[in-house]
Amino acid sequence: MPSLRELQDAIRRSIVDRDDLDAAAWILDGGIGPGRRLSVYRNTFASTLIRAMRLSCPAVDRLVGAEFFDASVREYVAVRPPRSSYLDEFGGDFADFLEQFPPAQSVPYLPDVARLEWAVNCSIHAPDAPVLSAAELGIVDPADHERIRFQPHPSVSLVCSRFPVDEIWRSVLAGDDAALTAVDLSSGPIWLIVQRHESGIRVDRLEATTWRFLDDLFAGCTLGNALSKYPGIDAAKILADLFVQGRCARFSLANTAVPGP
Amino acid sequence: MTFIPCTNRSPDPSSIPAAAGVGLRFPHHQAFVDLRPSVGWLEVHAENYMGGGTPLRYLDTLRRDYPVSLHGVGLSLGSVDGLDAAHLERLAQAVERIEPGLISEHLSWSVVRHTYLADLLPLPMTEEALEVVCRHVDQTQERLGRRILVENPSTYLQFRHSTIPEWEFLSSVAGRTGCGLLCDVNNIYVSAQNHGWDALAYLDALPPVAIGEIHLAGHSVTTLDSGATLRIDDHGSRVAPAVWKLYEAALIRFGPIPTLIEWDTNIPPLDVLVGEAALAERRLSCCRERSRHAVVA
Repeated sequence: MPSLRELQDAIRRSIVDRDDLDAAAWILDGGIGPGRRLSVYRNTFASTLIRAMRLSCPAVDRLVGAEFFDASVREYVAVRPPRSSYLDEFGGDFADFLEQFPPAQSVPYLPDVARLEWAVNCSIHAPDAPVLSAAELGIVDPADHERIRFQPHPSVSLVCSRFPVDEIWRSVLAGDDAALTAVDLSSGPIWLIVQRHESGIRVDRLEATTWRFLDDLFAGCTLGNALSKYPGIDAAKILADLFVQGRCARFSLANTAVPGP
Repeated sequence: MTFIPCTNRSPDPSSIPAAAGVGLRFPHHQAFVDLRPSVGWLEVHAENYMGGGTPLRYLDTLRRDYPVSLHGVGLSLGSVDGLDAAHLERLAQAVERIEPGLISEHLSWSVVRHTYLADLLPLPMTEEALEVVCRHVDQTQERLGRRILVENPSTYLQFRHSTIPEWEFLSSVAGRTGCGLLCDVNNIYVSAQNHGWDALAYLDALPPVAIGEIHLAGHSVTTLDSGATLRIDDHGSRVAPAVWKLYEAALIRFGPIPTLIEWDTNIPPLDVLVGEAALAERRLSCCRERSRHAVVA
């Protein structure tokens, strides 16, 4: 008689690794073979995760077609099954998987479309949080401005790509084949900010230096360090935009003006 | 069918009425807000409201007009590894935020060694599993500071080394932990058909005082190459006639109990779902009549 530990390990092997050997020995036949019974659970595992991934990656799904998408997700969940039952957090490394997945190599921009969709997905599910206003910074002594660290709003993330994945993503979701055909894959790199607004998710392009400046700030770099790293940047305009768009949740003051990460 | 708008409803968010409710799913969010169909209460999957943004805003709006119950599908009460503390914390935050009238989970497991197997998997009905489940129900009730309901599963296999009938296992969980039971009548029917159990005897064996909620849903029938059939609890169709009959038998045993229609795959237009709830409501009102006559007599 197996312990509960042995049994649950065996069921895991049956569902994820498709190895029924141990689990089948502990299951009553009753007119239906244990392998057939286990396959019900294996099918639910695959179909549930395919459905979840299709919801979070609708553009990848439509770009490659349902059959290819399903096969990709089956491979993906076999090597990287979800770590917890909170599926909103599942799929973060699907883009990395696609990058290494031989059958997907013919679509070089596919992993970056998946990265954008992951950012959109995180934005959709991000916790609600208050937005930092410029007025709240008014209490900071100007001499301390360079020690300010900004914490981005949980729904904000930055994405970049060698390909115009925002145009691809929009035209695929709109079902606009003409726009998709017109996308120029060699138009150069793009720098995106993704954020949840009252009206929904917005994906906006930023200028490259602004994106890098924000990327440093959001990674915990102090304002002073970020400014010295990007001399000549129009920080007043970028920061004003930060507040108007509600892109920060909080700020803190670094103890000393240490270099950011 | 026509919708009867809900007006002048003054819900007590802390209690779920002994009426028919429906599972609220994303495709119906907007229709629900626009039409406010006449159903007694709503149930949502806890895992769908653990983040922020739009889903919570819809629920906040609907919560003003409908009592809400929270149904967890990811706590994995039967995991030998122990409960996922982060998930229990997320559940506790959802409970604090949503203030549900009832909270329920399943007699099943889904997680082993940090791998989520994306299904409500069957437990062996053993003393060891019983101890694990009771420990986790205790832990959950302690963290939430209130009673939960535990739902009977639908299963497609039985383990050779099971020693306790499922109905006894459930009764023991309720007895040892003080939790209530969510009696899923469709699951009883599906499991009874799949394993050759007597569904009415299953109902008879459950402690009536512990029953806090009933679930109804559709299931599918798969015919295998061997000619054998397997019923699958896919929540993708109307409630089967045999399940309605079993539901009537459950109401006779348990009295009027909050009853939910669940529909999770091939989700139909809202009026179809509300129509199923009306069928349950009709049976509930017969049951209430009977209870009244019984009191008068």
